[in-house]
Amino acid sequence: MIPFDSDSSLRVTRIIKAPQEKVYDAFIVPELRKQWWASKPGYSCTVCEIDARVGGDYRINMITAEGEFFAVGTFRELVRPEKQVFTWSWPTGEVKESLVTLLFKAIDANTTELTILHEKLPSTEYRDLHAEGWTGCMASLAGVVES
Amino acid sequence: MPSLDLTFHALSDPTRRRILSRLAQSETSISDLAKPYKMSLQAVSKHLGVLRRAGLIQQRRQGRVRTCRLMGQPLERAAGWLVEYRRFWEGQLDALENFLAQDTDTKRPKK
Repeated sequence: MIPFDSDSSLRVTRIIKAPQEKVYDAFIVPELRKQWWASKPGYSCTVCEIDARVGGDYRINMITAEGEFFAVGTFRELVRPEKQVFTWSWPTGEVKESLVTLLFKAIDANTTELTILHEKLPSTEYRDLHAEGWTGCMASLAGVVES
Repeated sequence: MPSLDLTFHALSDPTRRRILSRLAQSETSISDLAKPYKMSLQAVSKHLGVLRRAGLIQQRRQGRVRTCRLMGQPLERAAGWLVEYRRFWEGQLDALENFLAQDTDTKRPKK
């Protein structure tokens, strides 16, 4: 519904049945990231460059039926295995940079609570350019899990 | 239609969000809006100006009383944008969860 209690940020939390370090590494170790990012059949991730240190850049693509999308940014904070902060943008077209914070909290040895906080979300111009691509992409991602 | 940036900027302040919540219940006079916050009318007017420029409220005069009412459309657009990004991250987390579950399954027999 109407988000009176929030501004332009977004928070997603998920309990994942895996150890904290493993969930943390799945985001920044390229061989691991490639295996789940854009993992739907017909979708792929062919470029996955991650320089996981503060000030280091990352560049990850997602090839979909609608085209190739790159996510790029710079790491601001890396506290293994608890926290990652990085800038985020899709440089196709005029895109404002946003900020993503990942928080990894160990519930027990094999359970991690992952929180994604996405702040300073992009402007409407960008949204109009890519809304269609996103919708398709997300629908297929949902298809993977529901099948 | 005002830009999404204006909408998000307007929503970034807790007082303005509380004003919107109040207006979601009913059209309200500006003096009634000011009451709960112990704010000057001038301070409230400043917040209302931001909300008005973002297209989130409309002001009108009823006799001697100036009132405000909520305009839903920009909020729906802003909410729609957040919903899309939420779906994106939820989708990625589903994929991550699947991947980590498979990984754990394949390793289990080796233990």
